[in-house]
Amino acid sequence: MAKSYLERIKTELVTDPKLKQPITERTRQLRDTMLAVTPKLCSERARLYTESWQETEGQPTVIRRAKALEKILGGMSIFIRPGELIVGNQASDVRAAPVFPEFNMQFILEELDGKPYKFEERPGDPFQVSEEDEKVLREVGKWWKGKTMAEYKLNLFPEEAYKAYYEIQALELYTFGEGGGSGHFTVDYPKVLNKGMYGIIKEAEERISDLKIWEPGVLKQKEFLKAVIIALKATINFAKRYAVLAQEMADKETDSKRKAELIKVAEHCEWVPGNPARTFWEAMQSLWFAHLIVQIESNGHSMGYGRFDQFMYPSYQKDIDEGRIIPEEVVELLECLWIKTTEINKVRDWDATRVVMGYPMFQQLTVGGQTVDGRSAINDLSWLVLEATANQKVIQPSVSVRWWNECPDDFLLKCCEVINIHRGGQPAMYNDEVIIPSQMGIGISLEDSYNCAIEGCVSINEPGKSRREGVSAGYNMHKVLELTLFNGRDPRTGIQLCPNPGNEDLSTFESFEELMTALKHQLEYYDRQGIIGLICTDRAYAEMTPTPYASALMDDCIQTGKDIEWGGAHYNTTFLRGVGMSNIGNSLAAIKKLVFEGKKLTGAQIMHALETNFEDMSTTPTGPEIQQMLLAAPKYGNDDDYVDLLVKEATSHAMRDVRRYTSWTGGRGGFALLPVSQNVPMGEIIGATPDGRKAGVPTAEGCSPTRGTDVNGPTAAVKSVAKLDHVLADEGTLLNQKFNPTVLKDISGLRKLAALIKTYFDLKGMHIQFNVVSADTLRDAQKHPEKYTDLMVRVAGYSALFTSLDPAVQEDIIMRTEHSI
Amino acid sequence: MTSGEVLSERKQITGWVFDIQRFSLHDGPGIRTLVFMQGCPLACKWCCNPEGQKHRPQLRFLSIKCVGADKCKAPCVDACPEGAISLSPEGKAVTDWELCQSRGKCTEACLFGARTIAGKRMTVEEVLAEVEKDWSFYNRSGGGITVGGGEPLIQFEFVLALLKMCKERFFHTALETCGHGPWQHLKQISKYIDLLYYDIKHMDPQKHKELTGVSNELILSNAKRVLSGKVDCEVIVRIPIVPGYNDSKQDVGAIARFVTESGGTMIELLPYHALGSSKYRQLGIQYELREVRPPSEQQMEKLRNRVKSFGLKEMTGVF
Ligand code: SF4
Ligand code: SF4
Repeated sequence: MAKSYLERIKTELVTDPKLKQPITERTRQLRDTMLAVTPKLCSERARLYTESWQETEGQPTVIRRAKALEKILGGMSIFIRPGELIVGNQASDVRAAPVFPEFNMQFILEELDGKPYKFEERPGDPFQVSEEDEKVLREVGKWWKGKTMAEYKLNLFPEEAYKAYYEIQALELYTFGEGGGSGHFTVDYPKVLNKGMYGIIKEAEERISDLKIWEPGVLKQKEFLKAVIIALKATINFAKRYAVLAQEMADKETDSKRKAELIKVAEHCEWVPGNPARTFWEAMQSLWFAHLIVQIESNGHSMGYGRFDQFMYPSYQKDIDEGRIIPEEVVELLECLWIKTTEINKVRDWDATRVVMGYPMFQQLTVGGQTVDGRSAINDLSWLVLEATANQKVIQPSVSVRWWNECPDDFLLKCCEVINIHRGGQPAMYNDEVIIPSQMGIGISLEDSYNCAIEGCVSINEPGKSRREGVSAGYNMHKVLELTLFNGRDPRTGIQLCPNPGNEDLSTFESFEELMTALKHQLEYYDRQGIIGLICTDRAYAEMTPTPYASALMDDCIQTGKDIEWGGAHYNTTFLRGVGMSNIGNSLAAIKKLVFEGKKLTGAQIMHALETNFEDMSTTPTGPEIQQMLLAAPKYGNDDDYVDLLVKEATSHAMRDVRRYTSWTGGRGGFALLPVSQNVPMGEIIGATPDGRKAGVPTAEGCSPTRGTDVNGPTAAVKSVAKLDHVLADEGTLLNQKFNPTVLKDISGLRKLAALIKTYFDLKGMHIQFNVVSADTLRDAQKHPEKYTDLMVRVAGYSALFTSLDPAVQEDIIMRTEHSI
Repeated sequence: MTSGEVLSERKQITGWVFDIQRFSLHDGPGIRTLVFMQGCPLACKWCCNPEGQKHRPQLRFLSIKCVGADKCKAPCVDACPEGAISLSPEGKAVTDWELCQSRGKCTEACLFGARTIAGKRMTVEEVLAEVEKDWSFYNRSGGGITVGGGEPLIQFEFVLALLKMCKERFFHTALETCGHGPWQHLKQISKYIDLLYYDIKHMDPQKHKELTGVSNELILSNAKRVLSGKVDCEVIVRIPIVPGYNDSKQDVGAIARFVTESGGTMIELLPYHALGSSKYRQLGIQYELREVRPPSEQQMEKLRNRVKSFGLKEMTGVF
């Protein structure tokens, strides 16, 4: 008997990307027409939000927020594209970005004026702006002057933290936009599917009737719960608008097949998300509405789907059992959701854009891993998710797989197949044996830790329960090393916030231990400034932009009557994203080897060479020679304990130190070893460093080795990285490996990739992702962008369209060590 | 002698090694570490590791790394006891290969890595330490060590000791040989390997001599023994396909016939590439094959079919 579709997916591996295509003409059309669009800015949300805000003056903020959402959902344009099976749009056009005036309008006004670029003319991630939209945005912008969250937040910053963030720039919030909304949570989708919004409204109403509003603080709870009800009702009504539209379209439709589909769509939108979903298709529609509105309410990012294959499985299984659907149709629906998810967009200011280029939204979708009782969670739907990912090859959602010790090899090989075919770094692989303990380490229950999902680039959360931060701060640890060498004085700005113990600098340290002590001292100082900045930001969110819709779908907000921005989530954390570990370790190793052990150079000689960017020819040795001596010292990424353990010592010190702090929402300070791609701008503000790096060169990415210095191949690189304390990085670590496609041209290549992943995970690595595209292809794409509109690369924690990236970022990607044979 | 003494003696044997490459994917199953032994009785015109041909260290000058006297004051010139280095008008180092003794005094003087020495005397213990670094990858992938070169048989004692110790660690072991060595050595080493790559370049003795500098009698007589089951390991015959030299259907067919008749089952065709050509310049030697281009995919397909027509299993490898 011929194999079934599902059996073929499970047992046949292919290595030629052309062999995986959109499953139907419908999903090919929807995909291609979407990719062909240059995104626009849409002013509808900005206008409606502003009107509402003017109307509700004087009411409690949380209620005003809910009413504004209600106004938007009731007034924005809606449409259904030809062939769509799942409906619901974020803005007035495909991939158009809505504007969130309450967060930040200043950059919109500046960029409309062409500072630094007009939206259309940006070197990366451009947006079209129509005359009409421009007019609305300018008006709205004028009204919001002085009233936005971004402006308020800056007023809250103490002077010292302000200098650390905005002058020395050892820390930054620009990555996610100075006016970025709060994100990094995954709402409780299963609750929407099972209870429906009506069920949740009922819960809120019951809670209100129990409230003793005469007790302190309780009135505020009531306001919040009322806001929840407004927001959820607005959601149901939004869906009903699509029911009407679909019915109207069905009435006019002449093609009988499409007509029947539209009638189905109308039925779905009439029923969900208000009521529990009755079929898999309906569940997909309900999920999409629930997810979409998270993206309209606030302009955060990193709001993912959580453990999709787990919570969608019951309705899948039921439909399969009852003969209502076949796996091919499931894949078509998955592909429709992938396309919808890729349609979600966001406009960030230029500074943020150049860091996270490629229109990323970090909408993670997790499959695999273990159930809460420690059994394999892989099911048929997990396989179909991988298949849809290979077929569509789009940038969203970011599909991630949780691997564990007993994950069957056939499933891992399927992941490797898709890694090779997708060519955009999906799926990314995570090690349950590290992520689960990492969560327990910050006080998350065993059960919730087993149930964790991936969010953001490579972070971890507990769906429906964790608010990991409003926004995390990028932490330029490489800069902190530079400050340490200069007694805390920033060579670029001359500012000195925190001198070293004993006012020592590189020319006066008497031992390596003294240098390490000073570094730790500086790290502790900047850890604290980092946390202070996050506290200011979280406080601004709490006061200015509560999110009653998302909060309604998070434990324990309804029970405690608290918005997630007020600390209502069951788990709270805040975190720093450390960047430049490799540069720190390499610099320390070079100093240790040449100054304190070999006595080949003095600290003063190195300091002078750094100040002159290795260009002074009048010294002996010359500047370039000193640079070479530094470059010849041991480098992280080559499986050499001499330097690897120094990287580990510095990193773990900072990670442990941050745990002392509590966030504004009452959670623990956490740590991630990941950059997005801010390693490029972060490098720009650092002078020459003792790792032999010249001024302005990008820092290393995540916990990956400095580009070009890991010369012993991927096994050595992976071993070096595995030496770090990944389990302390409760918010994730990132290792990007680049592979030439020729390595993966046959099944035995896939097996070797699988072995590499497993070994990294045996060694207690946390996350690994791959770029499978040759440098030649990338260079050609730079020259002929028109031929490569769908070429993706894994930038940092996310996939991006290569041609939409800024040339400097493109160059950085090409330059990164190419492990190819 | 106690067994402990034997072991420590074994570990102390030294050999000339010119490279150790981790994460090798094309010379045996799984993820492997390749150990390149220096010295070879043949001198194939297309050799992509010319630094491994002589049984002693060789200076390699990487001109692209030489930054020139205006950046480094050219300490290499004074460091050379033979007076072999002078400066070009642009201030870059120029080596007189007639004078150079490859003792590498200049290597220490040049901080820019422009002057390196290929070939290092290492103990079995040192090589083993490198190989052991990736044991966890071998474990997961079924990989291990592949000893190649140069010609490993030249350093028989060393290679035997190294492979013995790898086997004791349960690594998968492979050896690549040109077959030009004493049968007894080959026979003894084969006890400690799982897989033998045996290179055959040409069936015609005269042609063979032109291409490699030696006749093929010894190679073929060893091959017969190896292929007729006188060794326990798996054997794959490798044929480098060099256009214009041995890429005709007749050439490849003759080898395939010989392999079948001797009892072999597997042939791997390695299409020629020119990646080693720049090394010749760095070593101060002439590269004769400048005009040769890699064989076309169609040509490879034809040869593959020829091999298969003898009932042999064919796999295309990477040179
Ligand atoms: S070979 Fe080295 S030392 Fe000699 S000139 Fe070139 S860079 Fe300078
Ligand atoms: S290897 Fe020795 S002889 Fe040759 S150039 Fe260098 S120093 Fe001179």
